[in-house]
Amino acid sequence: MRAVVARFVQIKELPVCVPLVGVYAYFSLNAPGFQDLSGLIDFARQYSCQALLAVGLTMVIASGGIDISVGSIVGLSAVVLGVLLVRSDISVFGACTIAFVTGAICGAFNGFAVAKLRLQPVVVTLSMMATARGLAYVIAGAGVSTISLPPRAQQLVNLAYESMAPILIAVGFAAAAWVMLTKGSFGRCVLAVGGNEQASRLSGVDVQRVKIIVYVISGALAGLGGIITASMMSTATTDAGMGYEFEAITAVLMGGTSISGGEATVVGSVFGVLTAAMLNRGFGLMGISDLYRMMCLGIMLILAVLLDTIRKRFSRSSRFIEGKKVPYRV
Amino acid sequence: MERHNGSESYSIATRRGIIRVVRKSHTNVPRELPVFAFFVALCLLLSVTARNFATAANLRVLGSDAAATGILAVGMTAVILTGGIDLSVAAVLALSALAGGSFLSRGYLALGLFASVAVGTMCGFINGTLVAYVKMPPIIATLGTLYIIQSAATLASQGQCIILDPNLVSFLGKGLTPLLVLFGISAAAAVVLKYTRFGRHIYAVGGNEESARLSGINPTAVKLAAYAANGFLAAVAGIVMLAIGSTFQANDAAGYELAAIAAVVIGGTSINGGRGSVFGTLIGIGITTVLRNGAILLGLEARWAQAIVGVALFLAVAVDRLRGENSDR
Repeated sequence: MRAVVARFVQIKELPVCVPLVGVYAYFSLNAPGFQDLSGLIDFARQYSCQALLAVGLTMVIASGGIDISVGSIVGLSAVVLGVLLVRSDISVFGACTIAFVTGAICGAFNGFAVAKLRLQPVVVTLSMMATARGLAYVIAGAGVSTISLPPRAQQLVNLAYESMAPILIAVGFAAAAWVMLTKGSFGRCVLAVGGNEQASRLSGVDVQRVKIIVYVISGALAGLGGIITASMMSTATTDAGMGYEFEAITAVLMGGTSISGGEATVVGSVFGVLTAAMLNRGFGLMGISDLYRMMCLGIMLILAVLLDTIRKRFSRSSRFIEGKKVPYRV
Repeated sequence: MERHNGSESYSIATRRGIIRVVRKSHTNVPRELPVFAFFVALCLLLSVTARNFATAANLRVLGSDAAATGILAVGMTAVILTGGIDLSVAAVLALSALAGGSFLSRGYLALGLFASVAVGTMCGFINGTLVAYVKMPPIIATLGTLYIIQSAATLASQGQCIILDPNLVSFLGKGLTPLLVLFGISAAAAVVLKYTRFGRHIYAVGGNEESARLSGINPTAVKLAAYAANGFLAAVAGIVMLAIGSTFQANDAAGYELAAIAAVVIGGTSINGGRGSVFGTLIGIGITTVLRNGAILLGLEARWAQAIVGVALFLAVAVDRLRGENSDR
């Protein structure tokens, strides 16, 4: 019996399937118009930014770190895009590239501080959270909170607001991350570093390089998320992305990625984002305050980590050798 | 070399066995000295460059700016010393201030103070249970409770602003009183951390949980108490905020948790636990408050100061790292 239970709780995506199916069923029955396809697609589009953040965070958390600066990086990249388009005559593509690179640089900075200076990820990304948001305010200028994108960016706005492009980008990056984590050697290195850093160093993994790369990926995806967020609303706001890190971290941990590193599932993270998106849409349709959604997400986050703890307890015999955690095979 | 500024311990073999001798840190340079020097330099610089900095009126402004976040930071120091972190303090402050404020606005002083403190301690207790008993990572557990408690606070107040009877607690918010309250609480916390058994246990658990457990300390109870104390202090910070503003809204304290954590870390407390002091935290809160105040006095926008505080936080841990602390192992 214990073996069956242990086997069952070992499926990493299992915990997220319960809220995913539950939320879908509940709103299908109770929220009129919930199953309306165009509405669902609309929400998937709105949540493509969070999906990108969740994909990046899956990598970071798999490597044993955390990145709480992604929401602020979204804001910084959005403001960089807006300011470049309005106050310079750089091409739209050029502005997007610079915004994207801004995100990647922030990520590189996080990675450098965590890997080379060996600082705690929580503090590093906390300071980046404050710095990136502050920089967004500085770049936007005194008293400016919203920057409307100029007419020449109309094509970009249409692409983000009307086409499936944001969803395809998010799905594409999720697929790439999935391939990377399950098939590629780099993904294996990420999981190895998260599982047991010392052991992976001794087996020849360049731990510092792996850590820097995951933070760069996370920052770059946040930069991309900023571009999508700004162009979808056709305004860059200094508060863009505020609180997104909470939704993304909740989605990742709900999805079955272990907070202590070494175990990751991109599919689960995407399911987590879908759950958050459906909660948002369902509560919106039923006219329930947004605050209940936040409360639900908070409870789900705690339950997800609780489940992770229980799962660890069941699988201890297989994954722990002499009390040391060993990397989990994907 | 690396441990020059902390308390050192070494063993002496005697005929009866091994005696562990702990040498106290004050034989060396205090670890708060660099930040303190920086704080003094910053104040001197601002008194020269910003005309209104060194005035009595500005001191009162600084005092009421620093009071609430300072009290939060004192509680946060205890939690970080155990090796944890609490992201939910600002939300706890909001919920307890609203709970207390609902009585205070009707004129019940004692009931209001009690409700506020009870709600705050309760929230801290919940955080402590999740971290100490359920053994969840502190950052995730308190991120979850941050959103639950903040939503609860906003829902309970229905987005309304609480307006107090001005004669009830406003004496706490007048003039330099908030600053004195902060100093009083800091002094009490410093004494508790340094001279009581509970305080020493906090350092022991943060320094090495396993060896603390083996020497007969109950780490679970110590952590639970630290989080509960943090919740209690969040409630006190809420009361001080009520007294200063005499109005309160659920999102008035948003972002205070970051200010508090930044102050603690800038003050030299190791994020890994076991090292640090309330005195350092006071300097930390001084630096962040003066930076923000200075930015405004020099004609910059208030929200720009966030970037400065972020950079200061990073520099503080980087400098600490060069002294061999705050690393992730």
